[in-house]
Amino acid sequence: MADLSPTRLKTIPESVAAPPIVSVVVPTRNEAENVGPLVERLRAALGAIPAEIVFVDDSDDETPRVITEIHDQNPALVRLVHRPAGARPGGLGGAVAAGLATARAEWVVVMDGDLQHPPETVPELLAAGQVDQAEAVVASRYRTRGRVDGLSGAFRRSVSRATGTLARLVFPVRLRAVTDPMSGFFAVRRDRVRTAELRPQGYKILLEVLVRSRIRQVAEVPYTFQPRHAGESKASFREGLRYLRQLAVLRLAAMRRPDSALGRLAGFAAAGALGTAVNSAALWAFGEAAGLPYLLAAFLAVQVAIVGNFAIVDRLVMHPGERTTSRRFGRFLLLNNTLTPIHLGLLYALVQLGGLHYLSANLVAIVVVFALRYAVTSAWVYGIPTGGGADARRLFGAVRRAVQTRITLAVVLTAVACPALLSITWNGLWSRGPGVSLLIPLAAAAALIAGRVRPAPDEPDVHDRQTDGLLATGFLAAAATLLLVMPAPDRTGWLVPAACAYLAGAAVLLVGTRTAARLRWALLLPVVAIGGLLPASTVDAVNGGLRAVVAVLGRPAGPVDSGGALVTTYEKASLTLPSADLPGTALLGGAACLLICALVISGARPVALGRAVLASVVLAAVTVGALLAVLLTGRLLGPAAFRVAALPVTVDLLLTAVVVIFVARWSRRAPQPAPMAVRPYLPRARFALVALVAVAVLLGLQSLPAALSLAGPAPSPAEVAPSLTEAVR
Amino acid sequence: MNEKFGAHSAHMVLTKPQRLGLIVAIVLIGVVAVLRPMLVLQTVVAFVTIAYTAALAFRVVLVYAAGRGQHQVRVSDEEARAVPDADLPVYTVLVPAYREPDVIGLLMQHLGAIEYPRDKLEVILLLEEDDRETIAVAQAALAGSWAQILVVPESQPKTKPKACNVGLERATGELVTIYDAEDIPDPLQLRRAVVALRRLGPSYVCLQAELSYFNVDQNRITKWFALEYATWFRSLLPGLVALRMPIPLGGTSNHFRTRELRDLGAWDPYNVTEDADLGIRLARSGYRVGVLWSVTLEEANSDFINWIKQRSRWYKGYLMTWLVHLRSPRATFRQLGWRGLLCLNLFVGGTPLAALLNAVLWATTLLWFLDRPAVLQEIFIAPYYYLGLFCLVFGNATVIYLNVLSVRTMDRPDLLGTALLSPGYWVMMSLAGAKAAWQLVFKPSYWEKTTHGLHLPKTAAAPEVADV
Repeated sequence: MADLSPTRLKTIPESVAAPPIVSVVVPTRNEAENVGPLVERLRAALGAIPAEIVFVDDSDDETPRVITEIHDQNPALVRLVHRPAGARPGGLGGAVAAGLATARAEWVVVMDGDLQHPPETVPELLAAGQVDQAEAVVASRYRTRGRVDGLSGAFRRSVSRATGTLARLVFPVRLRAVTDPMSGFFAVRRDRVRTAELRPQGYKILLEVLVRSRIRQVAEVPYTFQPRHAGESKASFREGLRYLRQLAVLRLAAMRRPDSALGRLAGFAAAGALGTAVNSAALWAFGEAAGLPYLLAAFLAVQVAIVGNFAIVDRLVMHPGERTTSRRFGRFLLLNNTLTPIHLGLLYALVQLGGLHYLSANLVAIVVVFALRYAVTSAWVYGIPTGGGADARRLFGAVRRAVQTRITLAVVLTAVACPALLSITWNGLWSRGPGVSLLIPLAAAAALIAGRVRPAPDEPDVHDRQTDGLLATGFLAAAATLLLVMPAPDRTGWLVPAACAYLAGAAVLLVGTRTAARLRWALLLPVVAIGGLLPASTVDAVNGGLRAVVAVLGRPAGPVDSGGALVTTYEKASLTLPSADLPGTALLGGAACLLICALVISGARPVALGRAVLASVVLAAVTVGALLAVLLTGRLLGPAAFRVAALPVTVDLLLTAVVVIFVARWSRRAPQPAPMAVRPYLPRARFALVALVAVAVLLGLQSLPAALSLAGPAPSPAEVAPSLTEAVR
Repeated sequence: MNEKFGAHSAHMVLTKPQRLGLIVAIVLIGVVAVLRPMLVLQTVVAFVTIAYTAALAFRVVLVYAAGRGQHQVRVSDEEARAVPDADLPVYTVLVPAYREPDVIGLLMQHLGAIEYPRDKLEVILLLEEDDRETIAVAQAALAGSWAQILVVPESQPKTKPKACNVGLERATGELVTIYDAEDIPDPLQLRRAVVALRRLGPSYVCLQAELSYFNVDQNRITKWFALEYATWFRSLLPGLVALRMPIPLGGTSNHFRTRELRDLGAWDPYNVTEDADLGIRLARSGYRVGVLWSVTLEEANSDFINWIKQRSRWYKGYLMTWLVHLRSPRATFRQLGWRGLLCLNLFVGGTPLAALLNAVLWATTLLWFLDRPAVLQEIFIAPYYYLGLFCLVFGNATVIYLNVLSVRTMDRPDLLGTALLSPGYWVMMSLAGAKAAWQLVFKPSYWEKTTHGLHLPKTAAAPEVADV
């Protein structure tokens, strides 16, 4: 684009007057007769509006001399950018691009120099831009008031119409408000045009500007196309053919590097799908053809896929940001490889435990790890480097999302470090364990974190990576020690503190001490799971209460409380819900989570207590209702349905939903501090992530046997499935 | 400045002989560790236990010594005011500040409250050349006032002691003192210092005033900090005075005789606790330091991370000072005597090392209670095990007791709970100790800037964030 730079072209120096409000850019080619009348009419139309007229002239006749004469009379009004023969890249479009690059005003109006575009419409364009808050305003021949008078002949009219319709078909969303995408007459906010990205190919440049600059707010103003004043028209059939090519190029360019996060996610997914094919092919090549062990083959295949993915993602999906290609590639390789152990671990688990073939298991692993890859890649490889040019609000949003991503990563790594915890959680879905189901405190913690990523207004902006590192080392050492000296693997009482220590260490490293400290209650909430290791008498009392309430509410035909269990009947058979399966622990744990969240959100004030009590009452009511529903299911649908409904996971999910809804509501109502009060802070953490993955994998491998032994006695989902089908039947 | 110090600057942490000694020691220990690992571990444990016990005992002795008799120099208000203005010497007050535009206004208010004849008071505000913002604020605030601004030219190292040295060259006073920008000194402090120095005679060239905090009640950290300072200035420093040992000075409110300070080479610009180092050097030159009964109020660090940064700088400086003065142990012994050497090792070196070791020892204890690994039993051989147990039970109780004692001396019974919770403070100290050790190796001269103004309400002018 350097050759479009006006400094290299013959330029009449601009005067040092006050900056104009509008720059009118007029590309001209052999229009000597039209220039004078155009300037006069523009001057009359603009009246008091401070303006400049920039002629970008590709002429070989005396046009530049005419313009220079006018410039000499009005140095403040008229400027000339003359492009001599041989220095006219991009033709007409290139001329407009050069004009856009040299314009100084906030609004730039582009119009032809042949007086087919009435200068009187220019103020209308500006007014529409102001009123509609638009980024661009198009003067349209096809709006109701505008008419096509100037195009000679019905054929040319229909050609013009057809090309416009074609463009609207190709860009249905971006051009939905534009009836005349072929217009050469439009106004645009200069700061919204990405001049460097324009690749003008001669024909009308409006499309180019709208698509490449990703302009969203477009308004239209009708006008009537005038008969040519003098000179000859330049629109030709050949230009039309070039237009088709330009349309195709633009369509591809518009899909490249999408602006929306969703678009990037889709692009990343598409690249990932391609990468999956590459990965599978490479795995087949290494595993089957070369005969390597499948884990080694998978590792090599992942490397191949990473390099391939980088080529696609870097060129087509992500905005390159401020880092150089080699740095981006280094980060991409490093960060994607930190996730490789998770990938391989999952693969190993699926092959060894799930009994899948390694090629299909690899597919599952790729899909599962995909979300992590996307999060890590968009944040660390293409994310805004700290102190980037983004304005405060956008930076804030980016930091907020990054913190959420990193906390999620910390949770995932915690699961990798403590596989036994996963086993216990999995078992807890099918049979009630001694502790509170982890589901409830984890979900409450997530809801709490979602509302508390924003820094508090009185937080000092003081951070220290050395402190982060030392604290994290302490936490990780504690986690490792707890996991190593743990007496028996099935002791939730040891596992949860160890997992919390790891989670705290990971959070401190990934988001910094201050942010982690702000989230401390959320990070500690999982401890509620073992807080539920209450003396049996307490749990029995709660379960007894539940039984009594359910029995009372079920009268006269409903369930009865007999011998410490709730009993209902289906036809002749009696269905029993034993006391051990009642959600007493879950109810208590949920209430504890609610109390902690209320205290965190509204502080140690009576209102917090009131909220917690109210929410706990609702929670208890939901529990009773859920038990009644379970028993009713048995009574109406029979024992098979009863077995499914009576699974702890059913009631636990319900309670989780209630807790999350309450916490989310409280967070939303809590007064939000002004977002600009504190500078958002996000530490650099890519090497910390590598270290965390290494620690997690080491700890995970160490406690894997224990986790596997735990996974044994749990009823597999396959056992549940038949009863499910029975229930449906 | 370096020539004056000769071998006693922290320009480098370890001299060549020290480095050589360290390498030889590490190699020797490494070789033995490979051959007889248990022996090395046992020796280390024994050594650590003995050193730890000694440091603890030393503190108890200091407190005991401080409790017997009056070791702060007391000058009553009447005595201080009794000196006629004509008899007062010219007094130079140095105020180094860096990136603290918000506190300049307050500073002028606090200095204005000092009772000292204006024509004999020379206030020099020391600002760094690159700190345009503070310079601008100060120029506006000080326009036409009796205080002057001295912009310290840009040069390395850019530290507070370097600025003070530049200021000292300009000082015309017979006596000189240093205040930080956010300090609130006792209005009579300068007069008290004049009277005290005249009373004590020429062997005393420096007086350290007591430091305390104006934001004690801001949060738990400031309460702990206040208790610690009370212990430091009311028990430990008077104890050092009583035992005639060198005194590591505090960062501000130390009052010097200008001529002697210049002869001594003033502050070591490379040491991050130049004050503690100066205290030791004063003692090596045979001068004495008194503790003045007069309080300067400072801002207690109220934020965890900020506190860790500040404390790690202090610990690093103490370790540096310790290493610097152990460069020629024989000369140090000749100049300081056994008392001074004891103080240097157990107090200057011991404080940060104890903070660091505390974490290791607590972790070992916890591990023992969790798992009772056999290897620990083997490492702690009987006599040292019992010594360690004694430290664990009585040592911790003693330190907490000392804090409770400070609650008494401060006459703040509401801080009792804070005193009993001090193990939480030890955790922070351990973190700072670890950070200090890390920095001593990798960034010895780096000045960990502390952010001030965190006590100010956020709605008022938000404190400018220091570049850290």
